[in-house]
Amino acid sequence: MDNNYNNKACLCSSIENSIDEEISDFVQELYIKIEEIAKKELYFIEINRLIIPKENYLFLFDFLDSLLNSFIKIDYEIETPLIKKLYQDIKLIQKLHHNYKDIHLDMYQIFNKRFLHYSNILRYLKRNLTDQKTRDDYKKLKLLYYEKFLNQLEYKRKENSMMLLSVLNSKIFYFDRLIWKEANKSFKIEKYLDIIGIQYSVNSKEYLGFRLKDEINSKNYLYLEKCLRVYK
Amino acid sequence: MNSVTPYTKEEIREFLKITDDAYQDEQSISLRKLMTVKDRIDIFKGIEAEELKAIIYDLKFIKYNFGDTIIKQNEISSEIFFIITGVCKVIHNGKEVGVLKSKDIFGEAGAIFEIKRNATVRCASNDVTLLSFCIDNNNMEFCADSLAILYKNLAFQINHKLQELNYHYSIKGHI
Repeated sequence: MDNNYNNKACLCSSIENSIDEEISDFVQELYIKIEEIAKKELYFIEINRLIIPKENYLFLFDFLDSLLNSFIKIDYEIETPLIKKLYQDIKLIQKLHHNYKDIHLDMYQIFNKRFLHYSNILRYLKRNLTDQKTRDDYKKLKLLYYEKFLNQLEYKRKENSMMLLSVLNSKIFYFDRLIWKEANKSFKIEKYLDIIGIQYSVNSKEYLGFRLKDEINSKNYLYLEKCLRVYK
Repeated sequence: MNSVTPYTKEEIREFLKITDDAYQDEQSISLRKLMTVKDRIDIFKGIEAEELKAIIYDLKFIKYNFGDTIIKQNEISSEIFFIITGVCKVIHNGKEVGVLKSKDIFGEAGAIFEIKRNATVRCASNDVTLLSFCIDNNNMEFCADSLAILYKNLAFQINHKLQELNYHYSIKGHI
């Protein structure tokens, strides 16, 4: 009796492992490109000992984007090749992350349209639905697969999403500092800042502090205030 | 799918220069001061220094004198205060209802629940030194765990105050 029970338990655990492996391989393949980019970028950050700030720079990008545009209008030379590259990188990773989030809008579709064709076990069982019992077993197994599929997909989604956001946060951090590094070198921008009443050699923190005084009644106020918090 | 842009050695050097500058500048005097007192403040227990810097803002060390009003009842503000030195009185509807001393915090209910101040707090001694700060809830992406610890510590403080009140009223009831 005990032996029989042990054999069954062993078989169940071996089936569970096969299911987990099959799903894991699928999820890995599904996100291979995104994971490759995220890991490559993180490796670049790590090997060069660059900063991934704990502060959330993600929502600052709109402010920095419009700041850079207004500076370019005054002095187009401030947009150095490095700033351009970094800008394109940020845009690309933002797009990747956005599309990546969309992939998850319909996990059931991915499961039904892609995974069911991918899974050797489920495909085999589907071909051999001979009676009610095999049909019921197939349904039960499909449900078990789906639960595990959702868990693994969600875990991977969070992991990859976090990697992409960390990379983005780091890039926006450097983008911010590069803009001001170039702006503080520009005579034309110095003059512009002087005219609007900001002392030369500033950074986003000082600039935002100044802008906030002027925008108390503007609809931008809350956003700019939120941006200023990042700089403490 | 495009890959992100590779960077030249010169560009990487530029990033490194920014990294060095970033480590040297920015950290305000208040933040540096906070790191020296961080371990004495219960509500910051269990939070790493880097993360603590990222989840609070408007950090200030303020000195008050006897009779100064720190917060007023019914005002709306999200500042939390920690008493480093000195004694303060808590006044509700014109009546003194409690005393706060070194290591006590106040203002946390207003900050968490975004409600009006429950009471006025006034200095009851000279040279009251306070640490005030606000919580930055916009940093869920990178510091969710630390924010959770901070809120847990604040909830613990509120619970502690409620227990003290219960004790106070139960004694009064017996008398």
